[in-house]
Amino acid sequence: MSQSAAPPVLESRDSEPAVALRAVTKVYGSGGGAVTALREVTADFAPGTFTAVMGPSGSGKSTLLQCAAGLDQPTSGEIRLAGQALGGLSEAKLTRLRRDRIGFVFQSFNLLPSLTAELNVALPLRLAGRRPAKGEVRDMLAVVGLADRARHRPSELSGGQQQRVAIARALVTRPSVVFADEPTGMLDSAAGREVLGLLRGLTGSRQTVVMVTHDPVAAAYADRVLFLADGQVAGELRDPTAQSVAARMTGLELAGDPS
Amino acid sequence: MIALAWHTARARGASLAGSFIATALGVALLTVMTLILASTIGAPSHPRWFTKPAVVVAGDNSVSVTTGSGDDRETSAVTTSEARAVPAALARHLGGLGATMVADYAGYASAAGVPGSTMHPWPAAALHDYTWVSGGPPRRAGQLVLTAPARFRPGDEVMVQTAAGPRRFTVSGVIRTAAPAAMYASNAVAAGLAHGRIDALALTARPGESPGTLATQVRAAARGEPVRVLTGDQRRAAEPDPDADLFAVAVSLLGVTSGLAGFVAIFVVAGTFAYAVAARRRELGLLRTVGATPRQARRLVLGEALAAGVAAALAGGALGIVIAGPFARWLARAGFAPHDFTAHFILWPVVAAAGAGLLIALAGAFVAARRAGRVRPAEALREAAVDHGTMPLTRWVAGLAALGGSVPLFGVLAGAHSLDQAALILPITMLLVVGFAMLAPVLIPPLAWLFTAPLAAAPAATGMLARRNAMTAVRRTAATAAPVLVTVGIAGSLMAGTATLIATQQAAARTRISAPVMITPSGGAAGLADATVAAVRAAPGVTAAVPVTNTTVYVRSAGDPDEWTGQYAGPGLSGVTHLPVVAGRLADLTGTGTVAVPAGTWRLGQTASLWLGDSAPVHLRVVAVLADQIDTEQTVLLPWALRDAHTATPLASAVYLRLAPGAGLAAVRRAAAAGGGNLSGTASYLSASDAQNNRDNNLALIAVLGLALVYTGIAIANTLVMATASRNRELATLRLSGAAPGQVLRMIGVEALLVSGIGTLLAAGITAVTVIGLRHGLAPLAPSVRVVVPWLPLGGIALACLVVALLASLIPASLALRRPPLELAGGYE
Repeated sequence: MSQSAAPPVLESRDSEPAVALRAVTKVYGSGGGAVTALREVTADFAPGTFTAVMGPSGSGKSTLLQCAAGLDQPTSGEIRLAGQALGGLSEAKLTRLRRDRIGFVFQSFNLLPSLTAELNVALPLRLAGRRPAKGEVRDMLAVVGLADRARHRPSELSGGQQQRVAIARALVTRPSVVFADEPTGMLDSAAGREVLGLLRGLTGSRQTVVMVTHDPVAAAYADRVLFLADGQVAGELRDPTAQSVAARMTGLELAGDPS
Repeated sequence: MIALAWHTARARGASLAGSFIATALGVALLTVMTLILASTIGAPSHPRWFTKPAVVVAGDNSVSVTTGSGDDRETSAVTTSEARAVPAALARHLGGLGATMVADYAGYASAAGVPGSTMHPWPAAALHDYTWVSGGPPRRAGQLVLTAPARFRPGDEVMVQTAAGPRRFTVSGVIRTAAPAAMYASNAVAAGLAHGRIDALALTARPGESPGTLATQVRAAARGEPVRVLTGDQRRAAEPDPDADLFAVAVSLLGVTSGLAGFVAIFVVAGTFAYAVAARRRELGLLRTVGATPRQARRLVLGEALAAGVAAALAGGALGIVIAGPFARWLARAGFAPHDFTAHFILWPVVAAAGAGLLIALAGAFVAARRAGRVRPAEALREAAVDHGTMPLTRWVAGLAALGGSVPLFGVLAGAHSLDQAALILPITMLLVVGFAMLAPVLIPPLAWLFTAPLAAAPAATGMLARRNAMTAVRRTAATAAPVLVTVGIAGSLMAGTATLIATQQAAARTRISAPVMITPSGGAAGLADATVAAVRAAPGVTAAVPVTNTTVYVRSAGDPDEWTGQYAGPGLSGVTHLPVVAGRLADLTGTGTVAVPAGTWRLGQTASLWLGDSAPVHLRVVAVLADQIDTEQTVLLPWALRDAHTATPLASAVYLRLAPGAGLAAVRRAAAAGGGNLSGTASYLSASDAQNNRDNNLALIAVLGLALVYTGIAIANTLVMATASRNRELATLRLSGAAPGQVLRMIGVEALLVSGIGTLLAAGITAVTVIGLRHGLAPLAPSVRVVVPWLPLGGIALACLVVALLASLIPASLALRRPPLELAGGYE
C-alpha cells in the first residue's frame, strides 16, 4: 500500500481541533412524535487522529456524524470545521466546503451505478469544475489497490471493492477530515481489514478520520473511541483494544437496560 | 455537468426511452407539418387559365374596414369567397383602347361525364394553350366544346344543367389543355347563361405595344371602379380556387394535431422525468454529498433531458423528412387536402421542428430539475417508501388555477356556431387535465380506499397489499395514473364535447324546418336553377316551394369585418319553417332592399350595412328580428331577388315544399329530376346528411386523437416499466416473507387495475365537467340540448389503457421475479 502523493494543506494551527462540536442538539419531528437524537453533545476531534464513535442503536452516532459533516443542520449548537463555523453557511457554500474539505463514506450505496469506477472517483473534482490531472485518478485507485478495475461499473465489483472505490473517491480531493458511517458493515473480515488499514494510514498524512461503527474489532484500529448513549457522550477510551471496547460496550448496554 | 449528464443518460438509456420516443414523434409530426406548409404555400403559382393576355381585369374580392386617423390608421381586410362582376360600362370603355379584349363569362354549367362546372365563351379558349382531340369550334348557338377527358364525341347530344334550367347541346369538338377543365359555347350563349355577368376582362397588347403601357392605360381607365387590374403571376388571383376551403381545413387539422401532440409530449416528458427524479432520490443525495451544488443537480437533470432531446430531434427530423411526401399525398387522396398538397425537403422547417423538440424536452424536465436541486444530501441514507410533501403549495396553486381558468372558456365555447370554434374544447380539456393531474395526490388516497373496499374484506393478502401500496406510495400512484387520466380524459372530452355540440346544432336545425318534403341537388350538382324551382312550384299538389341557399356576408364589428352567414330565402319562408321571430314579419322579406337579422345588432326598421359574398356593400332595411339562438346567431336572411346580381352561381341549395293533403309525389319528382334534383322526406334527408357529417367529423377526430393516444399509450407503458423496475427490493422482501411469485404478480396486477381505474374515473370526471359546462352554456341558445357521449369508442380506449397498464407492469415484474429473491434484494435499483 503506497502513501498518498503530497500532504494535505491544513489552514488550522496544530492546537485547533479538526472538528469541534459545542452543545449540539438534534431533534427530529415535532410535538408528541419528536425524537431527540442528540442532547447537548460537546466533542473535539484533534487533527491527524482516528476516532471511532460507538454506542447502542438509537444512541445518535449516525446523527452525530451527519451533523459534523454538514449533511444535516443541528437544531441548536455550533459545529466548526478547522475553525470555520458551519451554521450560517448557504447551501451552495456548504456544498463547496464539503467538496473541498470533507470525504464521506457510507455503509452502502456509495457509488453512482451508471458511472465507471474511474468516473466515480473523479466526480468531486469534476463537480468542482476541474479536470483531473493525468493519472491523478489512477493513482488514487492504485492507493486502494484497484487500478486494474478502473473501467468497471459498480455492478461488476464486489462489495469490498465498491467500498474501496468509495474511499478512493472520498480521498481524491485530499480532504482534511474523512467521515465513515459503518464502512465495514457489509464486508467480510478480509475486505474489512483492508479498508480499516487504509483509513488508519490516513493519519500518517495528518488527515483526520471519524468512523461510526458497532464492531469492537474495527474500533480497535482507532486512536480513541467516543461512546454515545441516549444522545449524549457517555465516555472515552484511549488506545483501545477489541476486548476493552467490547467490555465498555457491554457495560453501556447493561446500564441502559431497564430489566 | 453536461458531460456527466451524457454518461448518466447513456446508462439510463432504457428509462429515457419513453421521453425519447414521445419527443421524436412530436418532432416528426412538426417536421411533416412545416415541410408540407412550406412546400405548398411557398410554391410559386402561375396562372393556368389566363396564360396569354398581359392584363386581366377582375372584380374586387376584398372587404376592408379602416378605423382611426392619422398615425392610428388601421385597416383590417378580408378576402371574400366570390368576386364582384366587372361593370359593363368599364368593359365598353376598355374595348375602345384598341387592344385585343376578351370578355370571359363563367356561368354555371354541369353535365354528367363532363369535367368542369362553368360555361365560357369560345374566344376564352384563346387565353390559354390547347390542342384539338376531335372536331372543331362551335359555329351555331346550340353547339358546345368540351375539355378532355370527356366521354362524348363530336355530334353527340349532352344535357347540361345551367342557371337557366336544363339545356340540350350538341358537341362540336373536344380539346385538351393544361388549363382548368370547362365547357365552351358561342359568345352569345355563354353571355346569356351567365345573365350578362362578366367574370373577367382579358387584354392582350397590340403588336409593337409593350404590356407595361397597356397596363398603365387600363389602370387609368379603371380608377374608381370596384375592380382589380392584374398582371404577371397576380393574374392567377382572377382564376377560381376551388381548393381554398379545403386547404384551410387541412391546415387547421394539421395545426390542431400538432398542438395536441406538443402538449401530450410535454406531459409525457414531464411525467417520466418527475418520476425518475423521485426514484433516483438516493443517487441525487449521494451526488449532493460528494459535492454537487443544487444548481449542479438541476443541470444534471436538464442535461439528461437535453441529451434525450438532441437524439430525439435528430431521429424525429429524419423520420419526418421521409414521411412528409407520402403523407401529403395520402391526405390529398383521402380528400382532406387539396390535390396539389405536396412536400419536398427544405432546410428551415426541419431545423425549426428540431428546435421545438429540444424545447419540449427541456420544458418537460424543468419542474423535475428544480425538484432535483432540492434533494438534501442526507436523503441518500434514507429508504422512505412513504411519500411526504407530495402536495407543495405550488402544486395546489397550479391545480386550482388550471381548473379555474377553464371556467370562462366554457362561456366562450357555448357561443360557438361552427366546428372551428368548437375546437375550443381542446384547450379547455388540456386545462382540466392539468388541473386534475396536479391535484391527483389529494384525490388518489380516498379513491384508492374506495375502489378496494371490497378487496379489504377478503382475507387474501394481495388485495390488502395492493390497497396499502396505492394509498401510501402516492407519488408513484399519481405518476402512473396520470397518463391514463390524460388519454381517457382528452378522448372523452373531445369526443363527447363535439358530439354534444353537433347533435344540439342538428336538433336545432331539424326543429326549424316544418316542410314535410324537400328537394336537393343530386350527384355532384352545385344547386337547382330558378327554372327548376318554378317547374316544381307549377306541379300539381304543390302549395309552396321555397328555395334557399347559403352565402357568406361580412358585418363590421369594432374595426374588423366579421364573417357571418347569409341565407337567401324565397318568399313564403314562414310557411315552411319555424323561425323564432321576435319583431316584424318574415313576409316582408321581399325585393332587394330588405333583411332579417338576429337580435342584438340592429333593431326593426333600422338600416343594416353589410357586404355581400362578392364584397359588394349593401344597405338593407330590417323587416324582421329573430331571437339570438345557436343556429340564428350571426346569420341574416336575405331576399331571393338580391341574389342574382351578386353571385356567379345563382342556384338554390335546397327547396322546401308544402303539399296539398293527399297530393301525389310523382309529378313533383319528375319536375325535380328534370332539373337535376332529388325529392326526399325532410326528416330522412336531414338524418342522412347528419350521419354523413358525423362520419366526416369522426374521421377528423380520430386523425387528431389517434396520434395523441399513441403518445399517451407510450407514457403509460414507460411510467409503469420504470415504476415496477424500481420496486425490486420491495418485491424481494415480499418473496422472502413467503409470497409465491404468482401472488406477487397478482398484487401487481391488482395495482395496475386500480391505477387504471382511478385514472379512468378522474377522466370521466373531466368529461362530465366538460359536458355539463357545455350544456349550461348551450341551454339558452338552443331549443333543446342533446347530450351525446360515445360510450363505445370511449370504453374501448379505457380498455386499451388497462391492457397496456397490465402488460407494462406484469412483464417487467415477472422478469424480475425470475431472479432469486436474495439477488433481487441486494442489487442496485
